[in-house]
Amino acid sequence: MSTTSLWDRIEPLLAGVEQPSRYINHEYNARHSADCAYRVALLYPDTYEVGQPNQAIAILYQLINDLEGCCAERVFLPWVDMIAALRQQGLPLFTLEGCRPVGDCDLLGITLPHELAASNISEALDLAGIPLLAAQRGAGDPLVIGGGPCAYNPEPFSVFFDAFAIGEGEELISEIIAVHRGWLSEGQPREELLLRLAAIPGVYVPALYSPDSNGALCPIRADLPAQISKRVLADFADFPSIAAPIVPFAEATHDRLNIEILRGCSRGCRFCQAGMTYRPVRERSADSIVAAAVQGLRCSGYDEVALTSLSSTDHSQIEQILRRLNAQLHGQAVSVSMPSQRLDAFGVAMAQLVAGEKKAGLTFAPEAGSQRLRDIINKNVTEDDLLQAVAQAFTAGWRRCKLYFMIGLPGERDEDVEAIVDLANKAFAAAHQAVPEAQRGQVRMSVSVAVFIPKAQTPFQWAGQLPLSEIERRVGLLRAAVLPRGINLNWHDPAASLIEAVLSRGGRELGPLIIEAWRNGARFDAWSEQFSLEPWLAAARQCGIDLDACAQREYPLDAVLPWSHISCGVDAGYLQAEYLQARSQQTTADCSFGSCTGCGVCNNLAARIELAGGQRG
Amino acid sequence: MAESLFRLRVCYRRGDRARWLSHLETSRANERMVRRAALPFAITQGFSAHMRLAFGPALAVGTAGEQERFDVLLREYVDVDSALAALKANAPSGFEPYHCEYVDLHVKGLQATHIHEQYLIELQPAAEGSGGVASAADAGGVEAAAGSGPHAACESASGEAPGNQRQASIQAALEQLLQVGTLTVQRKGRQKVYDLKQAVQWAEALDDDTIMLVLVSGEQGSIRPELLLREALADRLEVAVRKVTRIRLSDQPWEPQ
Repeated sequence: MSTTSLWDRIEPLLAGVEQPSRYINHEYNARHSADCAYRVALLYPDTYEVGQPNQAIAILYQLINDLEGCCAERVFLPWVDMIAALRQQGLPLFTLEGCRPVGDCDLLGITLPHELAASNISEALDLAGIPLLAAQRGAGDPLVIGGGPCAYNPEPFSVFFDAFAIGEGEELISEIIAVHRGWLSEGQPREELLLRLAAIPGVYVPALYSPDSNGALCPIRADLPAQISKRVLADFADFPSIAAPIVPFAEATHDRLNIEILRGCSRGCRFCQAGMTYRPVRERSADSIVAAAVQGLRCSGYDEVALTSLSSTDHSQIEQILRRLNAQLHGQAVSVSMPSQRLDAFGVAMAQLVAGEKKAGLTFAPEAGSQRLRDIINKNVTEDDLLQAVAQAFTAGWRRCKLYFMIGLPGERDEDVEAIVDLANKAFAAAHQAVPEAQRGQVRMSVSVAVFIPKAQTPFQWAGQLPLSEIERRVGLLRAAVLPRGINLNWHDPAASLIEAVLSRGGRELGPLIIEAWRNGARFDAWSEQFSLEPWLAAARQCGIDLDACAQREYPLDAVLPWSHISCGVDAGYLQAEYLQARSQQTTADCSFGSCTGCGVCNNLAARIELAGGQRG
Repeated sequence: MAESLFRLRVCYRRGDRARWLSHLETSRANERMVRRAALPFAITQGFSAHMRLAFGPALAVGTAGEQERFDVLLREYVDVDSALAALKANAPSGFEPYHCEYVDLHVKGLQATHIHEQYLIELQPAAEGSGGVASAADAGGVEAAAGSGPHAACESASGEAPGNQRQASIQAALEQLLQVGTLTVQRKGRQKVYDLKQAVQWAEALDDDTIMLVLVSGEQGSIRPELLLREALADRLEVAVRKVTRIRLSDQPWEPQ
């Protein structure tokens, strides 16, 4: 579909909004073809600086632009000032590359990064002039597909989407596009498109599933699968990294070159959704990582390269990778970083190798304050691991680090919350000890405490969230703590965590709740200064939904869960066993370091554990 | 070991959509261009090593620049044509390096005060777009000093003046403002008072739609041309700013040909 650029009408608005560089496109390595037969808009439902670093968007952007006759354009939600200006001028949500109305694209792909993006999906569709409900869309509207972490419990979002892509999208995207293009050329009814999409492995079409008498979502036709299993990229190790990343003008949240060095983590933390849904572990080789980093820096001009993954220190060749990168990048003021460091893997060598000439951020995640609770959640690190890692880091030159914890975990007691403060104090003391006396005033430690959100597809999916008042009481324990200057303790808003839990654990009934909350003014809920519980409370009253019950309910182990028809490849029996292990404070080892622990992924999916160095540890 | 360094001065244009960048974004875009161009840049020592770069006076968001400059210290001599070619090949959209030269290490840096910044401001009728003189929303509040207020004296200039009558009206309004003597600017909660005699070297309506200003940076930086025009023209003339371009940076006053 051909439409002209809206730029001449957008540009006059820029003098009146914050950070206009978010809206100008034309960044280095951005790709744009004025003429192409099939247009895909890739939407990240938050602002440019939050969404631009997203790796899923970057991967899909490259793959789609490389497809014959196809082009991908990025879309971010403008900040509230720009939204107001667009609405006042009667202008729609626009793509960056072509500056075209999003509603004119053929396919709109929306990534679902976290639950609090829900209201922004409403805002984006409405601003684009696309009917909010999939059921109300017609021939002139784009096909709207969702993917990303929240697709593992797609039901709360299902009203908005024609289909969901479950799992890794590298191969799936071209299959979806091929089906859609074929259908477009034939002029068949929309129902036919949905049926063809549902026939692609890994694609879930909510309109073709309806609840049975037990509430289980079942296919309405016999030729549809009862359970949709995620797609996995079997040859991840050899699949090329992003060749030429877009280099933003505006400062993005992670403004650096990202090299995904491995995918998957089987440490088996029982709260962690990514740890279950990205299995099995697959590593890229040191050779390909070093080559990709050097080439990526050359064509981007970044001064930082991050070796990203769920657990980068676990890569079987991580020391070799860091040594080679440090040698190759010497004298260029480039830092090599990792998003977070595994405590038990952060040794002396690592402390010296990470960050090269710069000592950028260092992040450790003990997650719980006490050993008892760390055993319950299967975070197999000890207090000694933390104190040693901190000592080594500060000896090697760091002067600040971040610690991540959670409160409200299943089995948590008051002494576990207090143990967070104790552990932070001990870590701070260890850091002090490691630093020359004259420099001790520079030591800073930031302690972030998140509220536990029970996530679909994890061993803790059956557990409820604590009542808001109880979470607030436990936050009070933290608040009362006496901490030395130099430790900065902060925690997530428990009210926002309630909404996250509701959207994480609920089902299809939540679609109207999201829309009503958005109508009541909810948007940018992940921004603490924008979040308000009020629109959600009002929406819950309007829709007759009990938010507390939804967040807090404990599911029986044999219950039909709202996401039972979606599988990440891990057997339900394994998740149940892990939940029971948690209750008896038993830990489970990581199969990428030892023998199989029976999660089922390697049997259920066409992928195997791949370790570049042959073995770990 | 004293390293011998070479100070390469790069002159470039910032235009098109890149005029919407902030100073920080511009600096970063230039640094990344130097890195992609693989020039042998020098770095600072210490825990947070970075490229040794220096930039000229900030170019405001929304303003294009014809004679922008930055200095980068190089570890090795690269002939200026090769350096320029490498920069051009790696420039982001809207950035156009057009000249490179070596400057002695000891000459005055780019950020010195008393820089004369020459601007061309293109106007359009106010109805055609927002972002006008009266509504440059990011600019903060402005007020001219109390005194023989120019506001009342401008009856003849209000409304849409035909032909070069408008040029004359703009010129009159500019001169009236300069006579007031000071301009008070509120920005992000801070107040700055500019002495217009020092801060404005030249203000001239070149025709009905174009104004030239030469502003001089002082201790507290320089005035944004939009602010000056808003104060001079708001409520008097139905014009809006279409485009602002900084056409020249010099440590010498501008002299009419």
